[in-house]
Amino acid sequence: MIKKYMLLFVSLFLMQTSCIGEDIINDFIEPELRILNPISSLPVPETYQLNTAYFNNIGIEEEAIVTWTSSNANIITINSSGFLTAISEGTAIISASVQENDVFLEESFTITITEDGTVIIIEPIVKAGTIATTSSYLLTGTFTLQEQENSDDLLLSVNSDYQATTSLPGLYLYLTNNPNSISGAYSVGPVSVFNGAHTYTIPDTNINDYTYLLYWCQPFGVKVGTGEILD
Amino acid sequence: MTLKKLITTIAILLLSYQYSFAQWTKDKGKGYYKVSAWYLESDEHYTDTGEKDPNATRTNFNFNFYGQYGLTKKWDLIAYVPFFSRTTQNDAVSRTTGQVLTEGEAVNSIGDIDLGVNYSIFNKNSWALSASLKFGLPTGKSEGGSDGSFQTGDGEFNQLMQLNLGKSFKIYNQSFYSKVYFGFNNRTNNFSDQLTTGLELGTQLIQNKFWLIGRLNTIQSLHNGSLNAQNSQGSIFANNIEYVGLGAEVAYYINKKLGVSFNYSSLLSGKIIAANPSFSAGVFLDVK
Repeated sequence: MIKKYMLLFVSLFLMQTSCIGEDIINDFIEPELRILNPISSLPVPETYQLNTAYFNNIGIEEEAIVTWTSSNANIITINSSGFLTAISEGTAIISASVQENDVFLEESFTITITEDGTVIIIEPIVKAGTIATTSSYLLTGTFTLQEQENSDDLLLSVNSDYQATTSLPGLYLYLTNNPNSISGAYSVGPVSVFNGAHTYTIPDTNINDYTYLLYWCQPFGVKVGTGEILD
Repeated sequence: MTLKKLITTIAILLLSYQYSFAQWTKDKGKGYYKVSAWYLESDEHYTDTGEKDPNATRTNFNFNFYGQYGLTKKWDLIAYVPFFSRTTQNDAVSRTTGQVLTEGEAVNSIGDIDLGVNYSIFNKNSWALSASLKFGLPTGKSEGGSDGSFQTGDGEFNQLMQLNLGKSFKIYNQSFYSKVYFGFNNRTNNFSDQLTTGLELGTQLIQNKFWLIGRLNTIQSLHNGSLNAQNSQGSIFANNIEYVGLGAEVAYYINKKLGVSFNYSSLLSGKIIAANPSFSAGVFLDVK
């Protein structure tokens, strides 16, 4: 009798020590082609290198063949590597596109070519957004993300209207392109401020690299809230 | 869970379900001993607002020994020893690509051991009153896995003092017993202290053979501990766990001493605790 029950326990033991299951994550997002460093103006005859990033349907950056076009080659030209050359004064539209399987994506911006010698003052880009809970935990506030002069770092400023629960263990902040996953995301680190204004310095990051703030509970493995980074 | 330190509460919950199904202390030399396998699979938890939120699926499993031995007619020795505990978390797999986004993990260790005594204050006619003192020893692993969130213990030493009042009675010739208890759990390491209450009702469906027991348990936090996310950066320890739990157990005596039991327990409400039911199955020896 005892042997029979011991066998049952050993069987349960073996079952438990052998298996780790799977959780299926709904992480689909629309693929996106992003021009990372568009400019609004360029003087004749200067040049400028554009960069792009293609994010697949789970928000992970992938290599892609980008096709560049200028709406008016008499004003500005662009080669297959995204290298701009200002030719004459005027306005043109620069477009980048990719064809991945049956998905065609195009991104464009307008550029004004100014006369030779024009001094272009480039202001640091500032983006902003609203943090909102996606769970039952308190999380609210607004934020700005801005470029820093003479630096490749970004400054993430969470405003004084920010509030987060202190009950939730292991709350982390990420920058991500997929609000449903931390896969491929940049970990800003554990959240240590739960009320009021505070800042984070994000080193060596382009302001167009990420599209969401993501608050993530590490031990529970779930998102707690997000904030879309908007222009 | 896990979600964490749900383990603490789970352990308390588990212990509260491990008692022999009777309200009285044991006589000298008598005892009740049980070896159980306990299992919890949790994919949702109660949040700090009492609502249910999803989480990565975690499993908690342990083999444990529960023993209650009569030192004298009035004093019992109590021990709960989870001699093997295992916590796992599932792989997170992309529905879109099928890729593993986050590798699952598993941690094995011994769990937190509880040792204590039970003292019979009063036992006359159909009434019994006893007091318990139990020490929660931090023998489990309070950190484990890649992010430290895999635990088989809470890392703190606690002392639970409890009063138990029991009564046996009959309804239409059917024998019943009931027990109510009220306890105070003094916790250390900046965890909040807790009040525990419970109600147990049992009956012998077949005389000396088959028992059916129902239990209602609660834990309330006194919110007097300073531990929170603000002062334990990145910690996976949750404080101020609360719940109202409901459980049922069936026990079958194979012979006069040896039997098997099955237990199901679930929460009616809670805060910062796994919301899924747990199960246990055990073999016991009841030396009367």
